[in-house]
Amino acid sequence: MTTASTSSVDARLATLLLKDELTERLHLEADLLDEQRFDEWLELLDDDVTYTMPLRLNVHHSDADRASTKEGDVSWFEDDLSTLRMRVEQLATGEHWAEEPRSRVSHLVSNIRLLSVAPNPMAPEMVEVGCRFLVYRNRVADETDIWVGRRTDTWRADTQGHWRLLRRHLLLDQGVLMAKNLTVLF
Amino acid sequence: MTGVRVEIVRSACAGYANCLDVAPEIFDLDEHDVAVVSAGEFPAEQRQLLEDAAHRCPAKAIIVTDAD
Amino acid sequence: MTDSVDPLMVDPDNGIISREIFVSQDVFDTELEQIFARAWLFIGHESQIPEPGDFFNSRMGTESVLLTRDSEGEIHVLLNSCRHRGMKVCRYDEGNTHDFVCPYHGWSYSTDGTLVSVAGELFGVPHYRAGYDRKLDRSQWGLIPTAQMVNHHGLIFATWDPDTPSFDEYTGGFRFWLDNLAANTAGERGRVKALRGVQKWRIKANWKFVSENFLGDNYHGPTSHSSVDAVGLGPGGKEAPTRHGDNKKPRSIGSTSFFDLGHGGVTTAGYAWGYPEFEDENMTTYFQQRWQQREQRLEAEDRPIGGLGPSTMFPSMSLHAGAFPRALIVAHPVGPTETEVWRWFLVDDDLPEDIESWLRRWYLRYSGPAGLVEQDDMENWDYATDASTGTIARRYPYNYQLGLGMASPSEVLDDAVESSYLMTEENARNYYRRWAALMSGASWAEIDQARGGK
Repeated sequence: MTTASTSSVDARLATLLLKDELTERLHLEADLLDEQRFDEWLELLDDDVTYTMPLRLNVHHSDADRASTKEGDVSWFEDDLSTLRMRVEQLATGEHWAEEPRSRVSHLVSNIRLLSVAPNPMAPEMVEVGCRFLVYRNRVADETDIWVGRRTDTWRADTQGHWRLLRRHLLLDQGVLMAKNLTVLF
Repeated sequence: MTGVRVEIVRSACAGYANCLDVAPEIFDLDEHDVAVVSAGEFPAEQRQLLEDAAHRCPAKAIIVTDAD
Repeated sequence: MTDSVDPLMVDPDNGIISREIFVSQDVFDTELEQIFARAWLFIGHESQIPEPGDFFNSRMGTESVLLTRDSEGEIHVLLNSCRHRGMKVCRYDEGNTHDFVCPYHGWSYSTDGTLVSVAGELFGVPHYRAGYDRKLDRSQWGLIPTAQMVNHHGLIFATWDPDTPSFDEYTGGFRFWLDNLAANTAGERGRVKALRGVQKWRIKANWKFVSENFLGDNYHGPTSHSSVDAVGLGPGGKEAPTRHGDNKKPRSIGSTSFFDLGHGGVTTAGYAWGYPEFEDENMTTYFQQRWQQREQRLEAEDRPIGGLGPSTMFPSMSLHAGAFPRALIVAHPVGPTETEVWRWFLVDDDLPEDIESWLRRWYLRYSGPAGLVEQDDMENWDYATDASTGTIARRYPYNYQLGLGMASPSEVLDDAVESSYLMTEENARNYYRRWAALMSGASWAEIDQARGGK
């Protein structure tokens, strides 16, 4: 009885610490992006990272499965590490006119939840984290965009035990994108 | 061959009256402009006509099933 | 709205075009009437509506239209507005249905040619007996169909004007570009499919900037897109650093423009773009084979080998007809300084899965709002529009004199001219000639006569 209850407290404590660790990770990531430390941001990514944002569609509510595009369909982007590196490299050329001069960007993440932990919170190797994002961009003079949506991340521990982003799936709450481009990393 | 049962979902009927176009001898509208049907069951020969009426109903208020 | 536009606004002979036509509300309103209500416009791809009852919510000009396939398999294009009070009868992007029931008062329209005599016809009116005494002539109150529609090897086009010349006449020699868009990489027409999902986004630019960009503007590439060549975006990566991967092939000698028709492409009908050298050798082998099949097929069918690369069909549909990428973009007008851009991506309908997947991911990193190439275009279109709205700016026209007097008749096409140098604004000059002819308010017969008949 006593043993069981101790281990249950330990498990809850481990989950809490894990959530804090990953929350810190998300907040660090937001800072790196907003401070334009893109090379350091790339260091947070797993070699097998996938980074996708499907399109959202208006369909009958009974057809909810088709309300966003799926793997194999068109999306806003479907990146791997090499494409993400290319984006960062393009920004560094100084000739990527859509971000020259650079935009002012803030990433807000909230509603953070651990959706699954494998194999367990005491020895986590892979964690699925859900959150909402609000990304604000202001550019040149009066050009302003606000993107809001839901994000599901999978973070994997590397051999040194550091969390690296393995999968990021973003559901933007816009049907017609009300911005001229998506030069911002989410 | 089994007969056919026809039922009107009164809450769904909007008085389009398409069923009257298809089968005026079977369907009518009451004083509230809601479809009524002349009998509960019909012989199998009228199945196609009744299914056409159901298909033509924009409100999907006509339900055609097998009679027991 | 003005009935016609001052001819001084557009002077293609001297390469002078007024900024007014990119910023003025009057000009924009006239465009809706004289161009978008008359021209052949792209609606969608047949593969988006494969089954009876399928529909895709499309757009012509500023208006919503439904592309439908009825129970007989026939394709229709219908104005998405109830004839009773104008409500959109369908607000879904896609789906399958046997009717469109208006959510306002319940008028219902068939997509189904068996329910009524013509698909899109009104087939149900609430209180038809008690309210209308069954006297409403439902056959007169169906959804408005387009006057003409054509299925060009899977590409669906329509126009509201019954007098618009036939699609073949309207497209002329540009049909070879459309054939390439509609053909797989082995040259078989009708053998492509649209990937599911159309990217739609808003830009603060005049819609003509989009058309002009793909029409023949080779001039912007080296400046606008210097950053993508530097990072090795092309299929060949950094070893073959051009964004289309065509560096090992001779460059096209010039671009093509259809003098009277307004269409244009950045390459010529005789120029074979060539397959890229891929980082992955298997892909190079695969496409090399397909390209050889294409050459044989085109020769056998007496079709020109070229007509690939970026191009624009007047007024607002632009395309990359080759596979690298193969995509099309429609610039839907919203206002003089706002445009809704729609992007479709097409692939061969018989590609090995891994190659289709590679192409899809490559298309997405190339085009669209997140595409490394296209992002910079939109920055330029938006701020060019913005900086042309001012009172002082509007007094000074744009310059279109690049390559003036340097074009000659095509040896391959009898209705086209080719520039003698890759960089030219000949295509834009001819595009605005066509634009001005339509904007003058002249009838199709008058426009045809001005061309010297056919």
